[in-house]
Amino acid sequence: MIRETATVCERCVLTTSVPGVSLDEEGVCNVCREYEANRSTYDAYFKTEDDLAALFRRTHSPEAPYDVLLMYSGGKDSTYVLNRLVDMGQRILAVTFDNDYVPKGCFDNIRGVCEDAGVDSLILSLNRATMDRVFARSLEQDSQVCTGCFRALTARGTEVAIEKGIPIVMTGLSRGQIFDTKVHQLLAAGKTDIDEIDRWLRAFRRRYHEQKDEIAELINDRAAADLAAFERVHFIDFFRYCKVTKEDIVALIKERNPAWRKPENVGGCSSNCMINDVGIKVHQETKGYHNYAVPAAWDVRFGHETREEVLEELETDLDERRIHGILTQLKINYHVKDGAV
Amino acid sequence: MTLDLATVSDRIAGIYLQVAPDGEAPAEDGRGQLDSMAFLEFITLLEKEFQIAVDAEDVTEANFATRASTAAYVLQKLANH
Repeated sequence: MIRETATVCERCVLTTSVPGVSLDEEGVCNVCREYEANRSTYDAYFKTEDDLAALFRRTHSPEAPYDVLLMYSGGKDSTYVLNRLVDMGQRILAVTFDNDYVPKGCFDNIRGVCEDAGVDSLILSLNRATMDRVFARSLEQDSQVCTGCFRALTARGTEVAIEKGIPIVMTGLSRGQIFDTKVHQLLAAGKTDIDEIDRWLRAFRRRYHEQKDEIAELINDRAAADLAAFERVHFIDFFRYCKVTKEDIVALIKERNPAWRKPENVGGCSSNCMINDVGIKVHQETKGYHNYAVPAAWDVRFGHETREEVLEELETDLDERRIHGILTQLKINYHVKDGAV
Repeated sequence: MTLDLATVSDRIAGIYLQVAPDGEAPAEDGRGQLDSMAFLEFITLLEKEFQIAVDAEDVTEANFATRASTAAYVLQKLANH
């Protein structure tokens, strides 16, 4: 349990076991202090729903079969996004990447939500053996399962958007996830101009799909094979333009999709993936902290979730037997001592 | 002082040693395996080391695929300085 084994920042959920994090005499972490000092610069990255509506007007093409390709996991965040995009009059193709660890209950949710909203659904997959190698490589490289899977799903989603001429690929990443995985590093490197940040993010995305590494080989990443076509696609994070709380998300889903249920066997930090806990376990054991802690701490700072809500999620008990079973299947042995998988 | 390709490449290898997760520099024609965070650090150090400004638009496979192509890119930037 995080609160039993480490001192947690009084404001967010970071502990000193996260590299580079320290607490001051008031028990507040250096990242919260950094945010406090740079709040207006950091918040400036986020935009409004009016900005998103303007973007939709600019990118709309009557010839395209859809306005938006939504990376739809069937989890609560992307279900909220799907509903909101329908409200905004967008023609949506909901693309789900089946990583072979998506529970049946999640597919029921996907089917139900898409039917409720009158949205077309496309489910893509790779074979189990390939995905297991992607997960194994991802665990070796990053001590988590999400990075390899995310690479596979963004590659496939982008390829579909290019093939069908859909102008926007949209994700349901939370503000904390957006900030942790994309924006914070650029701001820390002194790049504070928003247009410049967007140019760098675009460059990183291109490089991400151009890189010829082991995961690219495994998943046959062809997203940037036609660079001109790749450059025509807009990659948009819905929550960059929409400030909501977790409570808002749950309330909208209850209202619009009353049959939506959190599936079983997905742990405390996911509502759609049965291998997620494996990544959490390996990350905790090898790196000494929860891999959701840093993005979730940003979600607390941005007011998306309360500190208590996040701590509860991070402290959810892991199903050790199920995790052991999956690790055995992936032929993974991880060694805590040297911090390597 | 004018730098030659070999010197630039050696200095780039030094930057890789600082940022690569495995602490190794790729061979001259080898691909550096840096995630986006390490790559940004790499770019920042590259800018400092050679006193150049790398534009986002320059982050292409042609310029950064290998150590040799990065060295050629740096030399070109220095020439246009």
